[in-house]
Amino acid sequence: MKTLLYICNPAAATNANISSSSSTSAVVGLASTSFAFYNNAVTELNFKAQGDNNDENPNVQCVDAFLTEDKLLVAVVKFKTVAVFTLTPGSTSPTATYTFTVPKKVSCVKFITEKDYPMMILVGDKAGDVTSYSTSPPQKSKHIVGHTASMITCLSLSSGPSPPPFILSGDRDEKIRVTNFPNTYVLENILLGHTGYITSLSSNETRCVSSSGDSTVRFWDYKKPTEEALLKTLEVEGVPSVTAISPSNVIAFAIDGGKEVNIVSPNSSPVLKINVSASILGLTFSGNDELFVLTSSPSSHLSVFSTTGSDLTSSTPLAVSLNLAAASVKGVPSVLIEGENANGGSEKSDAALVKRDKHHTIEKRLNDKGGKKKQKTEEVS
Amino acid sequence: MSDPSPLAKKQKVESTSEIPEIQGLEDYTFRDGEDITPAGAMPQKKYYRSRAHANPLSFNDNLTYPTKPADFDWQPYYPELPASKIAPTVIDIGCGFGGLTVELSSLLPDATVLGLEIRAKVCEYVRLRVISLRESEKGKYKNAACMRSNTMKNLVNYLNPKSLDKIFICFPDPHFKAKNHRRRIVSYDLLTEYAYCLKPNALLYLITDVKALHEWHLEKTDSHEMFERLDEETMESDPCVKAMINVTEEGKKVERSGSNKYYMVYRRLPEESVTPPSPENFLK
Repeated sequence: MKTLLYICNPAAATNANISSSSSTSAVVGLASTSFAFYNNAVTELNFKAQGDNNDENPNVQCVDAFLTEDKLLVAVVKFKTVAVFTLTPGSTSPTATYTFTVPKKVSCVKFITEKDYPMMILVGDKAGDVTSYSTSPPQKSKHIVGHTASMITCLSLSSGPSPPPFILSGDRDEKIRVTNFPNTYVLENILLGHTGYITSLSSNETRCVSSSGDSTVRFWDYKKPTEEALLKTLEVEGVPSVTAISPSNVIAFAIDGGKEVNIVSPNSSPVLKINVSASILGLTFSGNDELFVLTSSPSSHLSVFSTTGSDLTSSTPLAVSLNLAAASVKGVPSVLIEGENANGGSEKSDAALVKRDKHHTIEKRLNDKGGKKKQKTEEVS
Repeated sequence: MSDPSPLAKKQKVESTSEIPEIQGLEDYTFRDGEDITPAGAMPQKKYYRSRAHANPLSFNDNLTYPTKPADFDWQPYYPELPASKIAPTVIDIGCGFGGLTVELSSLLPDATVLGLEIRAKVCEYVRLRVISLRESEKGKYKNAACMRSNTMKNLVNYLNPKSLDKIFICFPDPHFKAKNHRRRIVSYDLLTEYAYCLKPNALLYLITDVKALHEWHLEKTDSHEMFERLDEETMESDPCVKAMINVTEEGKKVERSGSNKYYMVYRRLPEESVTPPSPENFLK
């Protein structure tokens, strides 16, 4: 089972400076439920969804969040159901919930909003389509881009003050497509260079960073044609699965199940490694180059570290710590938060992404939910 | 130290009519120790028959493809063309036994024509056909070649954006069952890719004998914002349209059986001339 995360912070959304770390928000998907950390409070976000084989409570597949001045929108996906929760400061439960189903199993989601356009959510599915859906009733949708015969593994948006954004989608067949928004019929660019499935994408206004199953992390200028787009390739040990890029082009990445954050600044080549002594689940940069790292430690803690990007020689563990055991959520055994499970789960999802040669369908491999996962948990404990 | 034999000293003659071998043929070229098709001879169709359907979505083929177009060298396919002209400008997707590919090579002497076919035996037939034509008619067919590839998956790995003048899709597999519609070579997403590879105002040619498939082609391409139908007059005056109708093996088969052919040509619009959807109408 994969532990998933999205950290969002106000600087990324509204381009303002972070004044205090208490304005950090995070969303974590764990097993079959998810937690939002907003305004110093942890809220559990759970919903019923129809899973595979009549499984009443499938695991959370992916999460995304979007922070505005007055609320936090959270999207949690289980199997084919997407739930959009609205959290406002001061209330312990979501003020609004909107659930809808999509035709294919979802692999990633991303909120997207542009001036004049309604708030929408991009859903990348395992059949290779990226569709945008409305985040409140009535349900409307629009097909954005389709990677023929290849599942979408990650989505990213080019952020920044100069519109319009580009939608970047990575797939299993080593390609990253850059689609124009709102002219989604224009395939702006295809970033070619990886030789393995794309595991994560992160982008800012002009550059993006991608990690892949070929054990490289690549840094691109995604508006340039393919031959000139690839700016840097970093070889790593293992499969990198989390990446982040800051507005000033500082890259951070972590290996699947790894305990070190690797930070690369744009002009110098040495890679700074910061050991956080726990499995890294997510990375994100704020508008002023502060790096937030979400880790899971064996003692049922999910903590968020902060590092200032400009001063790459030191890192200060920050004040925020999501102690989920203290949130007294029922039905979440603490063993699920341990680093080992995160590793085991990620291996499984990695294996599913590896191309199969003969007579294997993608669906079969990725269908291992429910029974098998439970066995794995018991073995570990 | 013995003298190297005169034969060994002889310079290796670079063949100007060779095309690189296609992938995945697995020694089909021999039978009883002899070449099925002697070098330079025109191949016989009876040795290269293949099942009409091939699943382009399968992972069984293990075709290798370059990471990006710059990594791929087209010179071996067009040994007599100068380096500036070796990138394909006209492609025939699903070229079958190559009738249109070889005809286009004489019809469009300045273009570089590439036939793409996913079936190994049929692609081998076209390869041997072009080699034989290059040898028997010296100086001609320098600009035609064929390659085995899965266009649905790998088109952008081989071709640079805005590099094509024409794309021909002739008598593609109709994939009648609804569950197989996603294998059709014309779909909204693939049209986006074709628009990516085509130059602005370049042309997309579609022909089929299956009326339902033709209606599908029209529906998908009309709904795609980057394509616009060519008017009747321009279509009728284009020699490539006549070639597309008459010269393909499948087309000749259709004529013998007396069925109709349905075709349409589309122009790929420049990005600036397409109006984006308005915010209110973005989602439906």
